[in-house]
Amino acid sequence: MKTNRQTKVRSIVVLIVAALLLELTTAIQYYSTRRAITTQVTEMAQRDLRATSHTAQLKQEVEKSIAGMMPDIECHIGKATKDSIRILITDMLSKQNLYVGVDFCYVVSVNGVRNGLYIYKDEGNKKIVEQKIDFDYTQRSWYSQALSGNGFWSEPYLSKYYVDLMCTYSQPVRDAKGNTIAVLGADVPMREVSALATGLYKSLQSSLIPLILMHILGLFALAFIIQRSIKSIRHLQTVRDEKNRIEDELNIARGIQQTMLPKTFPPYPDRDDIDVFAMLTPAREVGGDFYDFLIRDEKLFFCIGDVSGKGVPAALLMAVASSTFRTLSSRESLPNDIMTAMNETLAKENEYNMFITLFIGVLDIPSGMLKYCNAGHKAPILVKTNGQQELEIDANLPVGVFSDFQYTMQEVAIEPQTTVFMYTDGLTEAEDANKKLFGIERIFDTIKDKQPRVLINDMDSAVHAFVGDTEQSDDLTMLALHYLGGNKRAKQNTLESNLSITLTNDVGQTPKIAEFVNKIADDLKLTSSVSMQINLALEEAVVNVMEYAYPNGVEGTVTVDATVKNGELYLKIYDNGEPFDPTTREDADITLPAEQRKEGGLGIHIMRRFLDGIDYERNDKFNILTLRKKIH
Amino acid sequence: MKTTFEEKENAYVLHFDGRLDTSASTDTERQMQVLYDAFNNESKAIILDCQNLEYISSSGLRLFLGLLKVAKPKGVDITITDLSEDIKLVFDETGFTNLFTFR
Repeated sequence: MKTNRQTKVRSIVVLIVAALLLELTTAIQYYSTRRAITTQVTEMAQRDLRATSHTAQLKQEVEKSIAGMMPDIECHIGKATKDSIRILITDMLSKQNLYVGVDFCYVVSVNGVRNGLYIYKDEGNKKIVEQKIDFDYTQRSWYSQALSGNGFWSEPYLSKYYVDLMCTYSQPVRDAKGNTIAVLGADVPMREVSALATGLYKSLQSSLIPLILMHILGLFALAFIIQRSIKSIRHLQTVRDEKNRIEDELNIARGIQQTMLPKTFPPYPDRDDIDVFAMLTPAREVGGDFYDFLIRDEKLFFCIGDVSGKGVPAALLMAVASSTFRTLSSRESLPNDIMTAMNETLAKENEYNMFITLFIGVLDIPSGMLKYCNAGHKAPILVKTNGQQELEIDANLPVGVFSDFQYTMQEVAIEPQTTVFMYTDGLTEAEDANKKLFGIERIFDTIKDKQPRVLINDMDSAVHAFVGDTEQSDDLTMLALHYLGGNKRAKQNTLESNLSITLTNDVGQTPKIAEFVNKIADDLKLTSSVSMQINLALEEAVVNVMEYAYPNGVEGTVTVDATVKNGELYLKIYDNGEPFDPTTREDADITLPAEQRKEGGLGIHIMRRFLDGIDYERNDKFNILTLRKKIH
Repeated sequence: MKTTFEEKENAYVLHFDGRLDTSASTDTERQMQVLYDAFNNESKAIILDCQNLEYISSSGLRLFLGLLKVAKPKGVDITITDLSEDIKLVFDETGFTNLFTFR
């Protein structure tokens, strides 16, 4: 969120700067153009005035000068040689500066022969040069217009011989009879006009160049800013998409992680001997803390752990650890065996050197005996009727550090009405704004109630009040179990005495099996459904013995012993008939249609479906078949 | 274990009452003969009323299967009515649910 706001502010600043730059450029451009134009217009007006009056004066002088020459020239026409005209013109040129060249073109004769002469001042070497006119002068306006009039001024033009603009003043040359013999043209440089044009161009150029440069620079800057903005917007979009995707995935991961922890509280609503409550608050979407608990064989297996680090890597290791605990606690009974096995699993290929502090406890609910094993975790707090104390713990090593480490087991008798409170360091190390820690003393002070839910909610409120608005820096997990003193529930699950029944080899005895099972069901408070399943499995097993171990109706007996161990009912069936192992019997194929169904195999199929285990052994005289059925 | 045979207009009904375990199966098979006889005489739909059936083991299931093997070739379906939840589970676990019609 913070970054988002920063980005927004930055893009607004960039836009404002871009807009200001553009405005500034435009303003400068406007003012300098206006100034330049104003100056130029003033200058132009002045020059124009000057040039116009000068030009008029120049024209007059030229006309006067040519007119003065004309009688001399006309006097030479016809009677003098060509050279005399040339000398005359050369003389004309050298005497004045009004015109710099003279064209002398004879009127084209009947046979179409042109004869023209051009004499001019070469500005480079200050000499007077003459040359024959080789172009068709009859096409030029100064020639054609002069033929039909008395004097003509051409439009200004650029000559290849001079830098300045030129005008040609032309006049017909007549002989004594008044016939037009030739046309004389004087090339007059328009110096003022040229200066005006050049000046205008230059001043325009000089004032425009920086402007244009500035404009281009501004455009470049703007283009750069726009390009950067687009790029950063695109980048932002990509980053935002990526962020959303990661957030979605993390939420899913969080969901998955939550499902790995028991979350239904109270977990054992029909038990009056144990109550458990837990709370896990990850600092990020996913965390490395975990807890778990389950009851097997009237033993409560529980654990609380904290994976080093936070976030996804910790969460992944947590997932491995918690599923490993589940698997092991359904098999192993001692906490140190579970811990050692977990350590073996996690220490192997632990490339990232992560580890877990873990506490595992196994509480025998009927007796209240707590066996536990600690792996570098904080000591649980025992909340007894007469006070609170930390449980004595061996530190051992965190899980995942070294393989082949033998974890030690400790044991303590938990008195009825005791609550065991466990937590991760997210509780003791919760920091307030002044970096002060919540600490163990506050935990002791906060514990008032032994009800797990109340205790943990109190603790949660206390820690929230303590840290205030400070961001949670570490995962925080609490687990509390309240032991109310067992035996009530345990008694319900014990047979009054070891029950036994002996039957003779006669299938007519099966009603006795039903009676026997009813007695067990009463003792163990089994549901009618479970009772029926036990009856069914036992009947099938006994009938099998009668049919196969005692074939042909030989005399013999079948004895069934019933015991309860680890939450399971064990039915041991003894007979001294022929060796017969029903577990090797082929199962009925229950997918077949009626016509293809065989009559055999149904019994063993039923046994397998309704029991949790069937074991066969043969000693020297007896077949011993053990049926196992979970009863809660 | 007791069975009662009843002939209706469209069907033969056999009422089961009690526990059909191994010890009861031989006698029950005998009692069912009346149904077989009637069916051989005239084939009609068969209804096995299990409202009062308390228990059944594999030997009881075999009796049901035997009856089905006679009825099926004649295109007659066997309907089992009012089976308790617990016993239905036995039918489910042995695949017998697929063989009969339940109501």
